[in-house]
Amino acid sequence: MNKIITSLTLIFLTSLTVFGQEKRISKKNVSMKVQNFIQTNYPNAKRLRFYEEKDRGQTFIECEFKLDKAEYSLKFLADSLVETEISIEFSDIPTNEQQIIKANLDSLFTKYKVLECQEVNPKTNSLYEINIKTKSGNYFELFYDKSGNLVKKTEIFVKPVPSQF
Amino acid sequence: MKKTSLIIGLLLVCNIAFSQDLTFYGFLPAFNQTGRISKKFNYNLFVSTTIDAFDEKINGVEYPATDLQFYLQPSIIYVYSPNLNFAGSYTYQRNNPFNGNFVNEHRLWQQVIFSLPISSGRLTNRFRFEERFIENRVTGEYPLSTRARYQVGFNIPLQGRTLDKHEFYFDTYNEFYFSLTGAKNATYSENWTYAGCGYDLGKMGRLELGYLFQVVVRNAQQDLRFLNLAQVMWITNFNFTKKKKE
Repeated sequence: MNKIITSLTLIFLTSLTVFGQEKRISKKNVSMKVQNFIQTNYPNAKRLRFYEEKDRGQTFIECEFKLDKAEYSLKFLADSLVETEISIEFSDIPTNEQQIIKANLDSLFTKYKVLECQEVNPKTNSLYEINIKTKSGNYFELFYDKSGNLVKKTEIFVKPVPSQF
Repeated sequence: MKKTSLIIGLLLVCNIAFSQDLTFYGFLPAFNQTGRISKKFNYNLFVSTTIDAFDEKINGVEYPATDLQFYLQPSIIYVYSPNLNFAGSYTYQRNNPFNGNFVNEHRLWQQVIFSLPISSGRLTNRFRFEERFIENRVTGEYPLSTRARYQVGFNIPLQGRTLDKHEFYFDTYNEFYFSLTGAKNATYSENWTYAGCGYDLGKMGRLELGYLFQVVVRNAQQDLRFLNLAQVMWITNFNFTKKKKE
């Protein structure tokens, strides 16, 4: 019986390497081009972590780090940067745009709380991603362009913890 | 001092000599479906059966391989937040379901799950209060007994920060059972320990394989029953309503 359990567990764990879609990788497995890009643009980056992610036949390299208390996430495809996400405070958004976004949120929801705020691709097609929780306990993800115009609004359904036994 | 040691020694020897602990090995196939009723309410259906897979002969007594338990648990879950869930259920349990000595149990329970993200994993604390109505085969009555359970668990994706399609994860928990009122063999009457690995099948849900170790105080003499189970669970999250996107 013990042998059966051990064998099944081993088969299961061995197959981890076969089906992996996303895995953490060490710095040495990241190309010099990507490493140099980070070193040049973010020389003071701390707590660097690298991930390899496979999506629809393409292999992305994702790099996460901390810089000046903000969390950065950079995504590379074939050594080229394709997406940048920076966690910011809502108050970090320029005052004019902040007021436009706030007015829009006020018009959509009677009472809400900003849970998370991110700046997406700040140097190219810049967007603000804002996650909020409403008074009635519903969750939304909203995207605004650089001028504060609403681009997309998605309701997030929180998954429950299934009950076993 | 010598006298005390001798008495303790004798007591231990007697305990070992008369101890009637039983150990069994088996399988536990289970199915777990969760679906959305509304934004805040979900339903869950959990079905399992516990199979003692091998004939055993312990202290001259034969214990043939048998189905030990059938378990049917529909429940309603209220999702207050990602970290706080409430649930309630009517559960039906039938011990020795295919034998003449079967025992039915009807159970109501209420629970709260408080979870916390830790690193890329999640620590869960589950508190459950049960009102049990266990059949007395002699009188035909269903006297009420109550039980409290506390489960502490941890699950973590094994590949990356989130569990994506076709990725593995690790799941473990320990659950303490405390019999409060009604017929009971001990207050701390049961303990379950589980560790397993799961695989995300995508649309078809998740498949989890693990080892479940159940310890039950089986009589008033505090004899124990150890159950070593290979648990295979299919976990689905089918929603029969369209996702609302704006």
